[in-house]
Amino acid sequence: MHKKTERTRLRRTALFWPLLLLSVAAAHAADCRMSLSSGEPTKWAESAYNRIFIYSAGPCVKMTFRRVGMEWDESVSNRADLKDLPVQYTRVLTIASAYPETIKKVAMLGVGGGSTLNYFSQYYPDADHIGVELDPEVLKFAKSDFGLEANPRIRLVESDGRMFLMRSKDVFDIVILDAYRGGYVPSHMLTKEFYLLLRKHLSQTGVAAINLHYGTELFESSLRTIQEVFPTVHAFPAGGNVVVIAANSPAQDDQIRERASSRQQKLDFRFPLPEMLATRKVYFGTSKAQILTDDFSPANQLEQMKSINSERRW
Amino acid sequence: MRTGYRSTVVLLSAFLTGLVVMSFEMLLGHYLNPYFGSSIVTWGAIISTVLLSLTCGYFIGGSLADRHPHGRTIGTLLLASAAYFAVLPYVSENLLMAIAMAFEDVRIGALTSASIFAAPLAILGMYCPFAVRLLMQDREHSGGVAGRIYGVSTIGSIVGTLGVAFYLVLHIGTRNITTLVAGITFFTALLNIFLLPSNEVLGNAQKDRANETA
Repeated sequence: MHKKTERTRLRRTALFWPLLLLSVAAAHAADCRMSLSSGEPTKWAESAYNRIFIYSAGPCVKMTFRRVGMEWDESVSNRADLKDLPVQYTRVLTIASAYPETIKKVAMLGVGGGSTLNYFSQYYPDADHIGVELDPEVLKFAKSDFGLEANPRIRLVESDGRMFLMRSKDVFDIVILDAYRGGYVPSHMLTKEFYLLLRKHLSQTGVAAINLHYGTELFESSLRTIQEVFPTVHAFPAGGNVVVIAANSPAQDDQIRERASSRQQKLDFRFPLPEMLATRKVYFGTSKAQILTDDFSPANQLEQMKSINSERRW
Repeated sequence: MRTGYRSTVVLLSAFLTGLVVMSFEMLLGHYLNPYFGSSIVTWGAIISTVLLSLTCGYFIGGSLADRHPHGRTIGTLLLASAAYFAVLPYVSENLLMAIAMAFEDVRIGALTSASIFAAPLAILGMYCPFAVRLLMQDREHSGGVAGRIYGVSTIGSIVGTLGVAFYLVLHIGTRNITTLVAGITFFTALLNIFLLPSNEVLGNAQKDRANETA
């Protein structure tokens, strides 16, 4: 009796630990954001641009910047699964791949931890992936802690995003724009001249996927400025952010839907393109929003102003 | 009475030149950001260039004021400064683009670019030593005169900084602010050319020296 109980207990114990480990691993795989929601930073650095903090828990790793007394999540990655995108807006950014006719060149301005670039590189292994990051310390962490060095499909460039485009002769099928520095985008990457430069670097059916913070006057002005430059601008709500897809040529809805389903069938994206494409909403911006130019770019001030009646505009 | 009027004109000019220097420094950020980003590197280039311009202005202005202590000397220089500001918005874009493309290193590019804005700032920097020379009556009050001039000029700088950063940038844009800056500099130049033409201060200084010898 005693023996049997002992054996049962042993069997239970033997089962308990692997099951616990499995469940922890599953939790990590399912939601890196949850597993990283508490704890102390494991690494930090102060660069010329940011105060950077790295948090790790199992395969999950998060990069934050501290600014104006707040901690801003810049990037969350799952090192064990490069097809995982723990942050919602990064999933929505991948809608960009429904638009271009072919995907041969992808650039990301503002790499952070580079999870979106990692994701694209898994599904489009033959495409060129270029990550452009201003902050050398961020690049160091992206390589060492977010696995970008280990990914041979990604080339990293240390440069300001706008200067990179000014000097580059390449055209891209997708340009992901996520150059945030602790909650704000540098003002020279929000102007009409910048978006014109960006458009010049898009292939015929190329698109820019732009991450914008929602709910301030800056959002209104940014959207209006993008609409001024690109013939097709689609908006996708993504939590507190809005992902804007700006296309170089007028995009036909049915053609994009078709492309999304055929690519989904062929490549089996973790975050299905057709479903995400259906989350598109029409945003009724205010006509009062001012277009931002190199000459007139009060971006920092507009960011501080809450947008009036923003919830009614969808 | 005459001294009061003279002092008002000089102090007003010191206020306005201080205002223009800092307004323009704030604008430099907007000029350079599109080409070199808005990082600490760009601001480092801007601030060091402004300080270098002022350094040159103080040295040259001081020695020039001793040799030509007339409102029209500094006034004519300020006219050149105003013309520089007036032309800048039309040439800056191509110039800055060329510099940005020429230098791989952002620090050198930003510093070179900032230096093209140095000349008008150096002229504005000349005003304070000039003002000291124009207002100085006797040695007894020299400290008070210099203190008033630098104080008023710095108040002008505060107004210029806050005016551009908190208000003007939101409403009228970089080019228009530059034109406004050109207008203020032009007005200051005219004040000095037409309202401070005489050589009266030199006379006083000579009188001082004569008294000392006696």
